[in-house]
Amino acid sequence: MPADQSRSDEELMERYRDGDAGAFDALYGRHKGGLFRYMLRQCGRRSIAEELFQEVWLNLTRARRTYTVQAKFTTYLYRLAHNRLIDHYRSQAGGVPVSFEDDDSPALESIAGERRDDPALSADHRQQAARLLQLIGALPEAQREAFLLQQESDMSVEDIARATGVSRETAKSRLRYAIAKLREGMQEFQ
Amino acid sequence: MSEIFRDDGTERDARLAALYRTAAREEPPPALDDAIRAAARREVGSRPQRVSSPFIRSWRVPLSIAAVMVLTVSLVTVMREEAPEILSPPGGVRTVGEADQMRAGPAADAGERATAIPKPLVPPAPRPDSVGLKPPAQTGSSGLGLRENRVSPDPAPGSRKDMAVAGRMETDAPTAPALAKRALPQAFPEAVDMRDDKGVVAAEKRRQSAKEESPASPARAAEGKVNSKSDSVSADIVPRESSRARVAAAAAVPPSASAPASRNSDTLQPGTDLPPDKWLERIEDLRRQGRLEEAKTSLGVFRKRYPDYELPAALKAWAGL
Repeated sequence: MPADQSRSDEELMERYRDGDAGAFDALYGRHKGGLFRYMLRQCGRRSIAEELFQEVWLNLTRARRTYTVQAKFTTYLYRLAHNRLIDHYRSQAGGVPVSFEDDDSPALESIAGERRDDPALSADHRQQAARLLQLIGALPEAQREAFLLQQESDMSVEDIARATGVSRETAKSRLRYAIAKLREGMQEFQ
Repeated sequence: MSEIFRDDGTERDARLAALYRTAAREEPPPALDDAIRAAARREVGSRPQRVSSPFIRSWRVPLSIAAVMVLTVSLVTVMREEAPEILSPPGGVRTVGEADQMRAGPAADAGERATAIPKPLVPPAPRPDSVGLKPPAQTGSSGLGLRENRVSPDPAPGSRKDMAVAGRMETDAPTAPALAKRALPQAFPEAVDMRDDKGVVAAEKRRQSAKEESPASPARAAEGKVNSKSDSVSADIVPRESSRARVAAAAAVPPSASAPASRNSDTLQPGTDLPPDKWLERIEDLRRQGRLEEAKTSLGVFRKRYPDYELPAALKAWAGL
């Protein structure tokens, strides 16, 4: 739908709230990848990520009638995702997070496979990308979340703070630590 | 390295971002996409679209309350106008004196009578369904009211007014409404007098037809015979107020006093629209004609209306007062 492509996320969500199912398709197309990767990185297992991903979108559709534009749509969407993740962590025996230290995780395997299938990527570049994913997986959950929100939805510190329900300073601190650790881990490729 | 470490450490790092974009390409499986899109469409289609603005949402409750209040007030107002006996407290029974005030005679202000709503004197049991009187035409009644049974005017000879006011005779076993019907002309004579033209015409017609059918009908009427078919003949829609007033008046008169009055319609309202002295003269005339019972009945009505009026000595003696 060309008309929907020119609309903002907030406009699309309002149209969906008012009954335009096509607006949801456009919205979903824009954000499904980022949200899915966010879930995948945060919970570590594809099957769980898919389940949580689906629940977040269904929650969004159920809550459409009460939607009002109070912030960016991505903040709203990732707030739903964040809350669902917290519930997921709480339901786990160990509390927080899943470790990404396992190199044999399906997500990383699939990533490696995609990279190998891309002839444009040099061997060095693929190696750096794989290393970055390892470093992201090794981050503490909150810092990783801040980094993923910035990368996947281009959120500012303020938006991250709103989406994760923390103060701006806390969000800023998490993001700074995450970036510093990733940079430090990537120094070997300099 | 210099491009990596800059500002406060939270700026988007171009190199990291590029590497991340290279590595992170996962997408949800197409089957999951389809399931979510289908669920979203069902969510929209399964329920009727309700586009309600915050303004409507915020005013929904106050508007509902206001609507309920308006409805309640309207219902109470309508009930008060059409069925005050339901709303009136048990203590609100009108006394005989009040009833007398209501029929204060020709001297009373007609406008006041037109606007006055009689209070119920009796419980709803003896409903005025069988009281076939018409409302005062000059009261300007709106026509709202109970549908009354119809009562034929008595075919007894007399003036047109007499015909109009004539009550009808009852059958062997009088019921409460029947008693009320009998007593009504005594207790509320002006209401009887003020039947509208339509009722009078109907009475005239009935009287003429009765004469044609039976020459003896005047005598029969004078004897108080019953015309049992006349209950539903000549009445019209009668305003509720006058119906209640009639029933109230009927209840205010003891059946013993009202029963004789119904024996002869010619004597039910003798001189009720006359001044007291003329009325008394009429009673004397009746007495002289030997229509003693009628004279007594009329005197009873007179004394109720004018309790303080000094009766002539002869009449007093005759009545045993």
